[in-house]
Amino acid sequence: MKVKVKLYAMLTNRTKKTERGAPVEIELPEGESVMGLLNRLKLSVDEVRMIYVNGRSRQLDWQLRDGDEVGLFPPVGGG
Amino acid sequence: MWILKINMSDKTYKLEDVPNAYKNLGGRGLTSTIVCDEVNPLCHPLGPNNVLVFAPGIVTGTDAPTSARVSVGAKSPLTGGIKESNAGTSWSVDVARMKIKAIVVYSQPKEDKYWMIHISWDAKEERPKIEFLPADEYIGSDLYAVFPKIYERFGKGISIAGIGVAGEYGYANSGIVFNDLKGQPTRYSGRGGLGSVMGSKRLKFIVTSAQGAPEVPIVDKALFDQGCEKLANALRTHDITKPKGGLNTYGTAVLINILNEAGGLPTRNFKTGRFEGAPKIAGEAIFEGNKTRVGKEVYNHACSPGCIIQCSNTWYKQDGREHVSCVEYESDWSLGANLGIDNLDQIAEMVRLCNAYGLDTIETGGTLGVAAEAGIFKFGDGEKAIELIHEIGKGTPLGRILGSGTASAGRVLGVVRIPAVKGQGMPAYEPRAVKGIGVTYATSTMGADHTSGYTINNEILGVGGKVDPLSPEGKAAISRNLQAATAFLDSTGHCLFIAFAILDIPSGFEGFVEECNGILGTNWTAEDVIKIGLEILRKERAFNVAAGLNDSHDRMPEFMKYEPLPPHNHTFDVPDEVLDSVLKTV
Ligand code: SF4
Repeated sequence: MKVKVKLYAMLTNRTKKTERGAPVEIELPEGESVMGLLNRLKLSVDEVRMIYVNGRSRQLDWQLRDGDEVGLFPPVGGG
Repeated sequence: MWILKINMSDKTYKLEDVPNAYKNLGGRGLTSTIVCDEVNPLCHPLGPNNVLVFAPGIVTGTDAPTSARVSVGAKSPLTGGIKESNAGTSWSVDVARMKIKAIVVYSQPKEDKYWMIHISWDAKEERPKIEFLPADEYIGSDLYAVFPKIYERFGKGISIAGIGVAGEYGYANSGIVFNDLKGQPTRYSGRGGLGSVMGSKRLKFIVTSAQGAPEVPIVDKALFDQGCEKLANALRTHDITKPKGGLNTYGTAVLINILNEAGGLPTRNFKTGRFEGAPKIAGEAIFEGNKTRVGKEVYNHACSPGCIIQCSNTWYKQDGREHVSCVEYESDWSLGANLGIDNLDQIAEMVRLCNAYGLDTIETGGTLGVAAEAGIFKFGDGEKAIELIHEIGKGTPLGRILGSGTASAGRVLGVVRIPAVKGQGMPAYEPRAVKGIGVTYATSTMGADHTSGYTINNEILGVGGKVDPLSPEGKAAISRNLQAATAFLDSTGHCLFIAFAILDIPSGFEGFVEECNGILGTNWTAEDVIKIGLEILRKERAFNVAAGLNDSHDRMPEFMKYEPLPPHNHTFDVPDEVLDSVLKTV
């Protein structure tokens, strides 16, 4: 299956894979979890604070489906 | 310590000892208490019976990190209720060091002339010296032109509080401006129209020179130092607040992409929760854009002395010269996504104009949003939006309508979708996609105000625990607790952004309380923080009720209850009884 991944803020520096926020298509085995996706991207759990799948906040064990859009953010805050 | 009472009707002052009842108060706790004690809730906010109060926080002026905030309070011309709005600036440090716990400004002169007050430290008398000086020469001008003249006149070491033309015109959208560390007019107690209260008293500036002033008195120095160290360590280690961390690198505007991803970035006057231009105006785009224009990575700076977090950004022009500081998340959203504008140069210019004229950026963007909805200009037309801000600054008839704020202008222009509570325009979080912040907007004593109970921590950022933003469950309790803790935090003089670190790091929170105990000689605990906060909220709410604001004002605008918001297509579904359970019974 294929999912679209968007990396924000410092996460792009980390993987050097994508432009900030630009969606990249990634091929994953059927039923892969968010955790599995992070492993593939070589991102550690500590680096990723917010996980959005199709605009909904999800946890690491969330199972992805074909066509999902995933947004990943490091710990950041503002006002 | 003193309370400095200024009477503008005859230009006299009194320096009074702090009464016992005010001894342990500071910042918001003190401004709100004085407003409750001294202001008839039914008075006209711009008439002679409103008072304007300035109060540095409990720890302001000391070595406590990130603590140079000043609270300004009065009855608000925007909401008709009580108002506290705070800013970070060296001005508050000056006032605290001159042992002034609060400045209370009463009445107004008979003649239509403006005045300024100069407060300096009289080393011989060991007390502040107060002078009244004519200020008519500074009226009607751009604050970026006026501030340098004040510095030239009084010397580099001064600090300035004041108003721009918005306050002179009596706009319900007018802030009180303070200098930043470069001496620019960029730090605002923006919300609630307090600039016009100062203008109604014909007070243009309060200039401070604290050279030679003593240190702020500290009862238990060892405890205080221990508290400072714990808090500083927390700020230096938390990912959000540490040097080169989230806030220092990307500024508050880093939230643009996050809220957009969550479907909670109000777009085109709260019609949708996603803006297709979000990546172009986000904190990341500011960082990258600056890198290209300046030729190196630019990290953010402090708005005021002693800040470890340093979240204030600068946007640079094509040619590498400074355009404006600071493009905050709120301003970036209100003048960007909310107007369908995705051009950072145009947004920066609008922020600069708000600073120059003395306007609140949130209220300005909110008002332009309803103006676009009414067809005054087209969403996305940045040039026209800039022109309209000039009209506000020039005081043309249309400009005056727009200067009255989101709710009033929306009513005049026949708009139904008016995103405001108690007359105050909503900030940058969509309550239909982030329900807890809606609870805060609805019930805050301040009108729609995100800072007064920042549930975004839990709902979006995963700070202090994580909850689903789209669910209405449990949001009353989260909002109440945060509103109480914030009322206390706003009293200490710390910037609200220390919350990111102290909500996650227990020793940071301990340090935060120990600092206060060290200064005051109190024995406050974490429980007292909530108790004292609730007491402040109780007073503020009682003032509002006496001013005529009742439960029916603790409500979301009706359209949010029947218009589902894309992309999640939720309405605001927190029941009214739940809203009433937040503060009514505290
Ligand atoms: S964190 Fe930002 S807003 Fe707060 S005091 Fe520091 S620079 Fe100012």
